[in-house]
Amino acid sequence: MKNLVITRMVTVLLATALLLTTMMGGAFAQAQQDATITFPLESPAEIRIAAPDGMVASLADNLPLWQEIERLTNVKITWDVIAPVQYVEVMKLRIAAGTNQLADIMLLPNGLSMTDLGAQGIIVPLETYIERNGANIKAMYEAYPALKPLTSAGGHIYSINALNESAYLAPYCFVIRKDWLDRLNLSAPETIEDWMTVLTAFKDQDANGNGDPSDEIPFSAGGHAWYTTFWGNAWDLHLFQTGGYYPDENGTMQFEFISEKAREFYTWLNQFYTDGLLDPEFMTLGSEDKMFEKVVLDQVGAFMCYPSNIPTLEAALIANGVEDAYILPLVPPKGPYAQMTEIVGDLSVDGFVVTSNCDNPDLAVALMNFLYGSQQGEDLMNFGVEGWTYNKAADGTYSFTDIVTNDPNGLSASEVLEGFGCQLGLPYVKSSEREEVMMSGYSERQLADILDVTDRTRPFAISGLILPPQTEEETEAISGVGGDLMTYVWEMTGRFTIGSESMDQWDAYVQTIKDMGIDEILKVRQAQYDRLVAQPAQ
Amino acid sequence: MAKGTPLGARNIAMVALRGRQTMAATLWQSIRRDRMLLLMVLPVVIHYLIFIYYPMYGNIIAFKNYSPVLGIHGSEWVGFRYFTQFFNSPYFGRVVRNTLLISLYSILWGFPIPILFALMTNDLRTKWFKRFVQAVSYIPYFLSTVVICGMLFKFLSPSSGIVNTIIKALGGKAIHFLLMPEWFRTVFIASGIWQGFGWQSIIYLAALTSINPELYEAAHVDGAGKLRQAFHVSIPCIMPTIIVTFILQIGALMSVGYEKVILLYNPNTMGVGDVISSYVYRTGLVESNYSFGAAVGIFNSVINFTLVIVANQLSKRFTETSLW
Repeated sequence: MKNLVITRMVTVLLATALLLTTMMGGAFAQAQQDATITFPLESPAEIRIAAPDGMVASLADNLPLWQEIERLTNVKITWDVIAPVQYVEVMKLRIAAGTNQLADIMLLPNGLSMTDLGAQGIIVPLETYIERNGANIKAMYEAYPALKPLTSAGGHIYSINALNESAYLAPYCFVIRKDWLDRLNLSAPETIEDWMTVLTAFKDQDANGNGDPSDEIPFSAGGHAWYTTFWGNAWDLHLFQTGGYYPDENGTMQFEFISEKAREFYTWLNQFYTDGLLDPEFMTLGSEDKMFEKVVLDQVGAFMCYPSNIPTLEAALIANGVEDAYILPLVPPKGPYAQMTEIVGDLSVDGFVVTSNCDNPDLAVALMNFLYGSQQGEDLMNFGVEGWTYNKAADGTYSFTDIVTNDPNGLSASEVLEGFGCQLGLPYVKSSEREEVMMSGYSERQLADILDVTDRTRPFAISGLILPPQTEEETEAISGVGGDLMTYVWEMTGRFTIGSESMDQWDAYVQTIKDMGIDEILKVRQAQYDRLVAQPAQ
Repeated sequence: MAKGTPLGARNIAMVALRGRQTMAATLWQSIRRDRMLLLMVLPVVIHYLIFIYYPMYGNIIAFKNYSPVLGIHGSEWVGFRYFTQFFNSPYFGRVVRNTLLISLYSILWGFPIPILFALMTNDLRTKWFKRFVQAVSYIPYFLSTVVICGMLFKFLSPSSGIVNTIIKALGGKAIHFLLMPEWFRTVFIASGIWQGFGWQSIIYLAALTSINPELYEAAHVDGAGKLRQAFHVSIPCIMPTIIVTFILQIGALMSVGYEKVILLYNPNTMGVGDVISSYVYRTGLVESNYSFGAAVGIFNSVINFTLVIVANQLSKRFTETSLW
């Protein structure tokens, strides 16, 4: 009796063990099979992606480009999209509220630390998956040496970030109303002194020719004290794109907002404001669009924008009756310490991460790899669907179809393409070819100006510095230190600019920032910078 | 003694049991009697339990280093770390002062206006005109804060705003209202009053309609004019309502909402415009430091709670009107 029981137990155990082995073996084989993925998949799969939505059309509406991508890959994409302006806030709250609802792939909201999320297990390390399914991604690490440190934290790769091949093409710049210059017989300014002279003339004379010499705003900027720091480039300050943390010539990190050059710059900016050259509404306008509204009303003499904004703005001015409207893009002005311009750079700070909810990270990485770097993916993300939005000639030149270039509702080419789903949803490489093809819609004069300013700005352009993520210890070391430091910086620099705080208070301002713990932050920035510099040598 | 105790205890227990039985019976009777009333109050109670009391549990993250993965329960305890961080912050004094000043001025200017408005509209004779005036006064209340701020930006713009156009037409110099710290509170509070006075007057109007008309007739017979009637009949009759509203407003002294502040302030007006909630918004929400935000929230609530109790006690002592 007893023996029988034992025999039975042994049999059951053996059977279970056998069954388990077969199942595990099966699962193992399955995993191996899934490891390298080729599109289209044999059996359809699903994936959920959280991303900022498009402004023209919603990704949730099954846009044509993404239907094409689903067809080519046999992956059904479910979108979890949020309006771009709210994306960061909403996603942060969602992540804080609990992680079981998160999508498989999401754009990491700016401000959250990859190190923290990785350590907490919310996001998944990607290096093994990239090894298996990320040939294009790996190629990008070669082409952009700063990419890998930017997307890694604590020895793991966590994110896949969009790249910009066209960073140097038509960068953000100062622009001036050429027709105003001509009316006053002035030439385009080249140095800071020239700018002061020209803008003073705009202020004092009837530059827009409407008979009222006092309705001109010489220089306007949209909505935040930050915009005015673009002038700081001429003082060798990296406040605009880089945010002030920049190494000096010895490679030691500095907080340039409290440097001696910054003092001189803000002394000048205060003069610029009190002379009436800077729009008094620059801090209260709210956004750049509000500034553009003033521009198209023929009130603004000079401002900053992307050269690609010029055709639209000129068209709006002409529609408002300014027939000879001419907005000229300019090379950065020569200032007391430098002639340079910080550009956005070819790396985007925010990347797409795979969450722990994702059942098949191999598929997630393979999908991103497909759209990122492969010629087919690059064409899809930049130009849309071949034969529908664009055509590719035998010699490889692209041209957009009438649907894109001649929209009946007056949308610009890039808006139409966004409506198809281009440059949305997942990381992509922004192609410079696309930007060039897009310019074919510009007038000859506009095109010549933009290409000219691109060429002449190139020697002065430097990419904004993007540091690799902080480690957990680094985050811990400065948690709570200098909380709200930037609020104080903007408050004080804003007040120095309009003179509600006297420049005599500069030393007190510097001291307060030191008291807030800037040295500890700089220590961490230094370590991050050292990691960045060390990386390409490997 | 040793023998008597159990007996005595049993007797007491018996009495208590009987008492409990009768109490239970009475309770059951009153539940039966008031079942309809109880049914009516039930949704509100459930609402409070689910949306107010249950979330209070989350307040413990103020004493923990909250991590989404570990959850509210699993996060590490850090005691009063976030409270100390708030008290030591360079902005502590400023945001508390700004919050209090905005609140106090809001009450000072904003509290009497709905009462005056209610008294005035109550005496309007023409029915349709009265309704029209009321409807017009409610409308701004239903506009979203963003729209209100957008209107302020448009109306107060130094170059194209209607207010400055009028000032300039009268020979004055344009004032950049939204850039000047000395104008911030005025703009903030005045627009708040404009938006809310019509809505807030409803409760006083309701109180006014419940006044016995004989009181007015008696006053009229005694030769009291409209003004005297207001002072000696209307105001004393709605005094309890006024006091209760006042106590409730005192209880919100430390709460100035962040939405309008962050839409209106800029670096130059931050010194007077930055309040506790906008500070929490920046450090708690934008920098996703939820524990810190919760700590400041608790600090606020404790003060508000204390203020309500004190105001209520004072009112009880001096006017015999109180919340409880």
